[in-house]
Amino acid sequence: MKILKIHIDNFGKLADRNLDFEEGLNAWQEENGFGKTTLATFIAVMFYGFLDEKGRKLPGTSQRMRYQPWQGGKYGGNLVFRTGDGTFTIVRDFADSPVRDRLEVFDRDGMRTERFGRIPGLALFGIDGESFLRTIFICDNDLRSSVPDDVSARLGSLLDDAMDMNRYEDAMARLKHLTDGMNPKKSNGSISRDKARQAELTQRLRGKTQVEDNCAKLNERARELEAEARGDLAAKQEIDDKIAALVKYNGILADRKTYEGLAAEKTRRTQEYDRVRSWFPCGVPTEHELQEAQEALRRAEKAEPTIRDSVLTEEDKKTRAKAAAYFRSSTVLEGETEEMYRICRQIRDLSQEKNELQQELLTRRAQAAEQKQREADEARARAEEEAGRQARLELERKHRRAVGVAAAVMGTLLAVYSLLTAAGISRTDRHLSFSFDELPTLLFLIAGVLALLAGIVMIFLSRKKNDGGEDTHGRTEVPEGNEEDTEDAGLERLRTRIRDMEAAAAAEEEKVRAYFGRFGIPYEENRKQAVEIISALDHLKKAEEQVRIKENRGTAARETYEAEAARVRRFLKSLGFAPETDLHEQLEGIEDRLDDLIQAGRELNQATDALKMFEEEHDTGRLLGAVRPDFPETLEELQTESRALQEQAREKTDSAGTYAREAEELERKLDGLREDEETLQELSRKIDADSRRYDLLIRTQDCLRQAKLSLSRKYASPVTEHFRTYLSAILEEGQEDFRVDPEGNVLVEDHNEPRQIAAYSHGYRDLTYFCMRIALIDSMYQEEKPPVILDDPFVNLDDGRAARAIALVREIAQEYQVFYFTCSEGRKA
Amino acid sequence: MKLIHTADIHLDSELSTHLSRERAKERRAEILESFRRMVVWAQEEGVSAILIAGDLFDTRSVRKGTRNMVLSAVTEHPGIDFYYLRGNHDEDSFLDTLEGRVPENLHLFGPSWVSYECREDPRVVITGAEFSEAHPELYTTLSLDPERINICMMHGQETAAGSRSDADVIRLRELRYRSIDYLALGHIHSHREAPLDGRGVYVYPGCLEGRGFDEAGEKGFMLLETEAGSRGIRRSFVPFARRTLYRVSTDVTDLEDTPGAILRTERKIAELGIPADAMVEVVLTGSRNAEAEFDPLQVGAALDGRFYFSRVKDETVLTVDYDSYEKDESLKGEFIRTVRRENTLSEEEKSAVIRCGIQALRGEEIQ
Repeated sequence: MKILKIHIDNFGKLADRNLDFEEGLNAWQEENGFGKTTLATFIAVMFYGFLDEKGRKLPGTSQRMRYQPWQGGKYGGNLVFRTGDGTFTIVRDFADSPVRDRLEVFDRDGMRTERFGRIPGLALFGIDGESFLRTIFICDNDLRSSVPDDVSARLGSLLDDAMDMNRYEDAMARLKHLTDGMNPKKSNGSISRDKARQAELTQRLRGKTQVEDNCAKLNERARELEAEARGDLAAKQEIDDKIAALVKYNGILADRKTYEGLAAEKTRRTQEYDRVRSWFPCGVPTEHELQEAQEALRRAEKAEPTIRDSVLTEEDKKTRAKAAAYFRSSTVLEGETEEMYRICRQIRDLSQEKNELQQELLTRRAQAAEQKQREADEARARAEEEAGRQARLELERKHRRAVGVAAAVMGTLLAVYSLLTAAGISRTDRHLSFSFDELPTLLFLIAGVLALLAGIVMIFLSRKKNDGGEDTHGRTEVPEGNEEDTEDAGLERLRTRIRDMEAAAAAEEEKVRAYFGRFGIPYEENRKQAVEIISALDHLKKAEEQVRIKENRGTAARETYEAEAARVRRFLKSLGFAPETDLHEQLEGIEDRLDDLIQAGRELNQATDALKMFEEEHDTGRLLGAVRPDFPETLEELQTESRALQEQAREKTDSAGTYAREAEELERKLDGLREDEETLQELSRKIDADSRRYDLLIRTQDCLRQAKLSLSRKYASPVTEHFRTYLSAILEEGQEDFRVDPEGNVLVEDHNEPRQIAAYSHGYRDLTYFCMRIALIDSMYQEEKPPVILDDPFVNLDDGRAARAIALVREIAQEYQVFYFTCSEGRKA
Repeated sequence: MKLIHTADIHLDSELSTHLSRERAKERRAEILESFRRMVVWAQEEGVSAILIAGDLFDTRSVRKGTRNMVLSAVTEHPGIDFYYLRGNHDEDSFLDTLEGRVPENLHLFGPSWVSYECREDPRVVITGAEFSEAHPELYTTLSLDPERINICMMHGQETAAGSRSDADVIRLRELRYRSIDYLALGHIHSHREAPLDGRGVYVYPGCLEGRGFDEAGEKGFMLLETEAGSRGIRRSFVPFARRTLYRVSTDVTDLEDTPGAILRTERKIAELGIPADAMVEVVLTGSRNAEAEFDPLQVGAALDGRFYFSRVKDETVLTVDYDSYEKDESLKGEFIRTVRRENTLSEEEKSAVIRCGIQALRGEEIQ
């Protein structure tokens, strides 16, 4: 295939460019920036369209945008080429999206043809656009842009497809990492671990059905036992009903017995009452009557000691006789003794006081005489003193009177003058208004009046003093005469008192005398023992009184005794009893019998009441007519059976509870097993998914590996052959030391050691790569040969090798259409 | 008189297929609570009867708490009559616990037809029968009074066809013209109703709560009303589920990358107005290029935390344009050709292997 010409309407920086090409070598020497890459891309785009719009986008700005004409205008162009089938023109116009792009291929006659399809390059060269671009376009950057250690990645750059080969190792490593992590053959692989867990859960779940069955059985058994327990309880209820009926009947029986017992008791009590009652021949006394009789008897009995005690003794008789002698005509009256005592005390006191007064009288007389003398002396001294004082006072009085008279006269004169002056003024001054010129006159008037008043007062005072002094003078003379009179009077009084006392004492004695006289006792002889006699009389009186009392008491007691005893006897007779000697015992006996009768009556009443109450509360007819329920069992048997059923039901309920609890326990276990089941299902799904994924990853690895080997083998031999051929054209020797391994790596035998080409110089590497690229092109393009675009690929070669490389280019141009660009004159082809 | 027709509540269902253990536990509790709420709602709305047309439970060994809750719901509402017909998932464990102590307001059915006259409206007769192997042919023994309002309860898969002998199949043809006003069915988990004959209809109320994404959409029960003087039954569907499950399908065929898929999915979710307490399954459908950048996990991550539960199911078909790689002389091209030639892999597996290989070569996360 040969490109004959191109026309670029607008493509990148190229616009309206027409280029004709020769077969073979087309060489340009142009500066950098000419557009070599743009030209090469245009050629590729004409054949393949924009290469980054199929499938995944390449990173960066798309080619469409990158080559959009800067200057605007029609975006596209055409390319004329020739194959073995003829000459064709590819016309492309580019819009902003592929769907609006225009592609047409015309044959030489201008007829549109579809023989090349939508991708003419694919039809022509049998490879895709990227491979095409990386194959035919060789530049120095291209040569040197390889990953230093991966010559295979540079192997014609066919294998340097964007990232494929570069990433092969990485891809395989990642795949291996994934598969290793999942490897089911390794115990630490995730699938193995999941399977182990799966087995564990499966094992655990093996018993789930059994657990479910057991749980169901336990629940069923629990329900059965509960039902049986209910049945037992129902049977027990029937038994209990029988028991209730029997108990009820027994209750009726008991009531009947009680009723009969009460009736019998009443009969017995009636008989007893009648028996006790029969002891009383006539009526039955009341308790009160009996108590009264007993009380009467007690009173009678109570009087007996008094009777005994009231018998007079000899002493009593003597006392009575003595009293009779002394109190023949009179007796000691109430309070007389005390009066007599008082009188005696009075007499004593009077006597004592009289003696004291007499002693005093003597004393006072002596004192009076002394006082009289003393007083006389004092009177003389006072009189003398008084005389002197009176003289002084008289002198003062005279002086005062003189002053007063003088003041009065002066005052009068001043007042008269003032008045006269004032009268004169008032005559001249009709208005009578006050002025300071009149002041002295007024002052004179005032002074005169004051002086007059002072004089009058002093005259009055002089006269009054004299009156006071006269009173004083009079009183001074009085004490002398009064003192003497008082003392005499005092003595007289004393004497009078003494006389009075003597009289009083005599009067009192008279009383005593008279008192003694009533009992025939002479007073004069017994004056000194008057008190003792009075006391003795009093004692005698009291003793006589005691005797009388005693005698009276005895009499009263006897009367009481007789009366009460008679009363008791009457009482006994009324009851039909003959009084006995020991009334007390007899009454006690009656009391006992009465108590018995009362008790019997009370008991009879109780029995009657009990019977009545029972009859009111019970249907005695029913009681008497009740019949035993018609079943043979005894109460004890029924109770035993009821208890047994109760116990049985309880045991069954307990067992049911135990089963239910066990069932609950199993249900909890079942819940856990259900969770395990869910986990197992999840896990199984995961294992399946992981296993499938693992298989896929393994297959992916295998396919990748196969692809790489296949690709390598595909090109390895022919590439090596061509490579050596081209290399030999450039190198003069040593080309047999180069070889390409199955991986596409170029190796150099150096001292029998294969070395990577990356270890050599840039120039050497570039040369090698160039030969490899051409060798690859030779191997890849078997039919239509593509154009080869060389963009100054030999910049790193020395002149010698560069010349040989250029020579190789010319040789290649024999077979390929070569577009060679360089910016160097020295590397011009 | 008001009645509720419900079925397929599946209490104590494991629910572990989609949900974590904790969420499954939560959800079981919600379903049980929905049952209780329904009974409370019935009480408040003056409903006299609740018809449970099968599959009240989901498991043989019903949890004690579940049994107690159901029993309590029945006994605490003595004014409501419960008509419980067992389905293929109902085992005897619940009724066994009632041994001898069946509440008066709980009415059961058996292998033969049993009829109950409603207390509230004696015109209404509830008749039901449970399928069993012992009595596979029930239809001939069904005899209903045409003057009554007949509600018939059964559980099974309806079919208009005749001759299947499967005990769970309800042969509608044989139930026609038997004076049925309302055929209260259970077994199918989505609401469905259709005429039975000229007189009556058959209705599946659907399940009360969706348990999986195959039960997405509105769930609830049927409310029936009879009126004095009229023999008709007014019916209405009452959405009642605590949570609604949504299945959102997003076709990613024409999309080139994950953000596009996320955007399209979010748009669809917004259009549907899905609430935050919903359970959402996003199903990615269509085809995508094996080389295209597409990560379903990222789509799932974009939904994380926005709903009670969400997940993304990748049902896209990886496509590989093998022809385009035929002339690709790169490792990738050779790899794709190698996979294509592999006879031991299915097409789906080939797509998956290719995707893995491309992701590995690109240095992307290998899904």
